[in-house]
Amino acid sequence: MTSRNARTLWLVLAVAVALLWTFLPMYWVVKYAFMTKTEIARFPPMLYPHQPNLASFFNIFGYDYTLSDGTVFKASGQARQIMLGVRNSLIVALVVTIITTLVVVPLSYVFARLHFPFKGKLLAAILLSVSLPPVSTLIPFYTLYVQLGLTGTLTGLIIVTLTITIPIVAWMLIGFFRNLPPVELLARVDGFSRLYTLARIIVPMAKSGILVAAVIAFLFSWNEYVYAQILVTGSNAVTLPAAMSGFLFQVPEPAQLAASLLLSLLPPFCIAFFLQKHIAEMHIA
Amino acid sequence: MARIELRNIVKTYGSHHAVHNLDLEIEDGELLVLLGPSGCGKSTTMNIIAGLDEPTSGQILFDGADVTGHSPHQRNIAMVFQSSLLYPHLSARDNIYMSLKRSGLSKPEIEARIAHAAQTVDVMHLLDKRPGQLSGGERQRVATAKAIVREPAGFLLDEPLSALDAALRLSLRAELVNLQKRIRTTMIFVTHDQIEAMTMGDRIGVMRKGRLEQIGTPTDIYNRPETLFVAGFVGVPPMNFLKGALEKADGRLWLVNPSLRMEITGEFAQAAPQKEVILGIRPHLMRLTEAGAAALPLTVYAIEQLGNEAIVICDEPGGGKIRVVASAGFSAAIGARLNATFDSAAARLYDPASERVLATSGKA
Repeated sequence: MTSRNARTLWLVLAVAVALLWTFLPMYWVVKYAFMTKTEIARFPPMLYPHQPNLASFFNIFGYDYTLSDGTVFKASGQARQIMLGVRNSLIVALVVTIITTLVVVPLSYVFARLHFPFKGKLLAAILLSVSLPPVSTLIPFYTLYVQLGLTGTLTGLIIVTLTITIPIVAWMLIGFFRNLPPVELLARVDGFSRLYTLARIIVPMAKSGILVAAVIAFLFSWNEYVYAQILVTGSNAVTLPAAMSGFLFQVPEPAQLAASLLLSLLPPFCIAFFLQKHIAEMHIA
Repeated sequence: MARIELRNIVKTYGSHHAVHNLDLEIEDGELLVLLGPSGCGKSTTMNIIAGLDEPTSGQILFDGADVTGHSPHQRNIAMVFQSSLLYPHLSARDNIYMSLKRSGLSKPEIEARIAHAAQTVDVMHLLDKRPGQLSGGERQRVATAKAIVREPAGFLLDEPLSALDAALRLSLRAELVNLQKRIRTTMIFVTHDQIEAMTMGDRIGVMRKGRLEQIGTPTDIYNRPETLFVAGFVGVPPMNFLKGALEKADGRLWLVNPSLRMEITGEFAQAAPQKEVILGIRPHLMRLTEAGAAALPLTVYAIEQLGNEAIVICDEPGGGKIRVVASAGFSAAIGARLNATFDSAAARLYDPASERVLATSGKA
């Protein structure tokens, strides 16, 4: 009895440590979002906001905010960038997700289920592009984009983001497709064409895998910072991560940075919440 | 239902010959089992009959019409794959329906056919379940329903029972044979399990290394194996082999080796003498006996009690293992000396070089 209790205790402790490890830094940021600049600067730091306020959330969307004691917090100069960022990030992420899915489903299917010459080498090429750090292609892309006039455009950013999402999502889906039972044989005996088999049999069978792949593409694109920082910062095509970094470098505004960070966490959070079932299914498969 | 004919089928993968010049005829309504170890070309042969694979050369005829270039669907074959493969995301009903989706039949006709097929194999109550919710035996039945619903020209099964446990395999075996006789369809069944082959087939085609070694009824294959391979592959416990020389003396033929001198009677009595032969005799046809010239001295290696009989596994002086069937409960110490004999008329003689049975008259 006591040894079982001891085991439970250790388990609880281990989970507590893991949770603390993940959530403490998050909490620190969340806390900032509801504090003023002076409260944040105080030492020793406050463990929680004593007088939580929503000033930063109003400021980043371009509204002034008056505290109960009459102090006025001016709207952020970055507000336009943030709002553009939300819009652009959504556009880029959605377009990237759709194109990635449309390209990757047939691509991975072909690699996973068909035999053709040079398959191994082509597959290695895909894997190689997964292993490339994005920064390594930044300069070539930048010089190319300057010549093509693609800097500061959504089109340019979408193209560059696809070069990350397509290989990595293809890599995931190839593995998933490989594990499906050989229903193509059944489909051939039943008289279905290859295209019909892919569209009407394989895709419905692989629904959860494809959904998770699409989510990964969305998240990669939504979180993408390195390319956005160089290619679109300050333009009308700015994305949320690039816009947010303004609070870090130009006039440091930790409270507003925290507020916009919370904003940027919303879509991934919602996706994870609604897709839990499929994500779990994919892991079992 | 159709008569299926294979003419000089060759299948190569690069330099590898999967099937060598295969000629095969399957009668309308016959259940033919293709038997062989893995890699013998039996699955390739089935895929070629199905139209899933194209032969490198040769012809396939259904009822005399050349279908070599036709797709599986055009040939109107039905197939049950390994582990009774079904579409995992569809219900049993939809799985069966997929067989008729491209058939051009009217809706009510399709409904009626599905109901009839489901009744035939008794899966009416399973139609709304998905394959994942079915047991191995139920999946097998649904896969069978999916196959017969098409009223196929040929019904092909590729080791459908291999993933199931032994007891289930036994009952499904009988079920399939019963079904095949009831609906009188031409059926080709691929397996590596010789018991499955013996119990199910009207005829058995034994394959090895892409060649058809022998084709015939189970009784034929068991009693008159034409090659050493068939002799050793079919039958439990496996056939015993003895090496020796065939010598002519006093106008009679003798099998001679250092521990045995036995007159050959029966079918092979007129065979030509030769230096090396292999004699094959079924364990059931051997009996323990007193020592003598026509008795083989043996050393007990192990005894397997089967309840109704005992199999005594022995070392023979030539270095091989000999199995003798003794009465149930037979006991002897490991290492004990025994003698066994048999009626040479029941034995088969093989040429070790060609691995084929000897010619029964001396003219060869």
